[in-house]
Amino acid sequence: MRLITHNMLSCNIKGVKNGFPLKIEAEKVIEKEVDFNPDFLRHMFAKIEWKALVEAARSMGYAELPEDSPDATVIESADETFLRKLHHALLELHLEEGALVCPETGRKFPVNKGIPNMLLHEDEVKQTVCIDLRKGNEPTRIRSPKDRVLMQDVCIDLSLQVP
Amino acid sequence: MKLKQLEGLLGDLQQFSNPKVELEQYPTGPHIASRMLFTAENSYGDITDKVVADFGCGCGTLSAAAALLDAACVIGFDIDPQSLETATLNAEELEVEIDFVQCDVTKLELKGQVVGTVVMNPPFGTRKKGADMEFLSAAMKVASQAVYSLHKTSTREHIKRAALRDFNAKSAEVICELRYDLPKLYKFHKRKEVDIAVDLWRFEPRQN
Repeated sequence: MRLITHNMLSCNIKGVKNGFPLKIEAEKVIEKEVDFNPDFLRHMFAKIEWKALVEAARSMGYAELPEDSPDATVIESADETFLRKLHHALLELHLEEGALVCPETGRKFPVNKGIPNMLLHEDEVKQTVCIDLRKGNEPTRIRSPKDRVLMQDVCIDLSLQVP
Repeated sequence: MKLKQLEGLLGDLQQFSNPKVELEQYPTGPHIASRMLFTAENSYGDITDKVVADFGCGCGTLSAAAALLDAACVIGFDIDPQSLETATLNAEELEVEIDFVQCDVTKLELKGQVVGTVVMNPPFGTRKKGADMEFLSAAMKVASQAVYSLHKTSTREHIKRAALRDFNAKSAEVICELRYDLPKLYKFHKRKEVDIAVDLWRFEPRQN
């Protein structure tokens, strides 16, 4: 798993307000060179969560990224030094063995052979209960997006209260 | 890369050794996969130098196609660890970099706008009702640029309506109709092989 992927993963356990970014426990990290693509990196820079990337790279043993997100002039300039560091952190560091840890609950998502297992246990999955006020129905569990859509106007997310 | 060459490379990939019927595991054939990704790049520029996510990647056929067409980064998501093992071997065989994540895409909330294009051959909903719509809903939340997906032609009107009305689609177009040749994979399959009419869709999400 590379850090570009880590930058989009968060913990979806029900009730968790702040599941991003996941902390990294690195047991085995490998480096694989890939082609340098400065245009892609310039484009990507605006989209990544910078602090999360810096912290994650540090956990993988790479501390070359500046703490503060550089401004546009650094990115647009012809000087490739910064982009090379970004390239290395984002695309060349692979977490092979270890875990991703939820910052709020401490739940560990294991990483084996480079693949993080983000599957939640039955009791960790959010349930959304919808109450159809127009018809005065019993609260119903949502079974499919279609159900949710029909009740959209009156949907109340009770995920925190559902046992 | 030429279409024929892409099709050839995808034809060499390993497929499901023990397909699980409840997950609707069917291989995406090289004919469909190559045309799907080739069109996505050549007609719309949605693959090369982009971040591409493959939802329900299975053995990684679509992911491999995206990587071979020079996506900047490819990430495959699937719930089944055995398929992901095969997908990893396939990526090694082709010498392409693909990240894989084991998860239920319908329950995963991906942060940010990193993913540009989502490609997928989702379950059609024959085992778990509504699975096709759940996958589409998830994909539309993640992609910042485009979603390419295969759905049964018989569901065309339903999909178009749902995409535009409920899944935040700016546009929903059937790019072409394909015949998906399904070989006899499971015990309950009566015929030796069957052709299903499927639509290749391109959805564009509304910008936030």
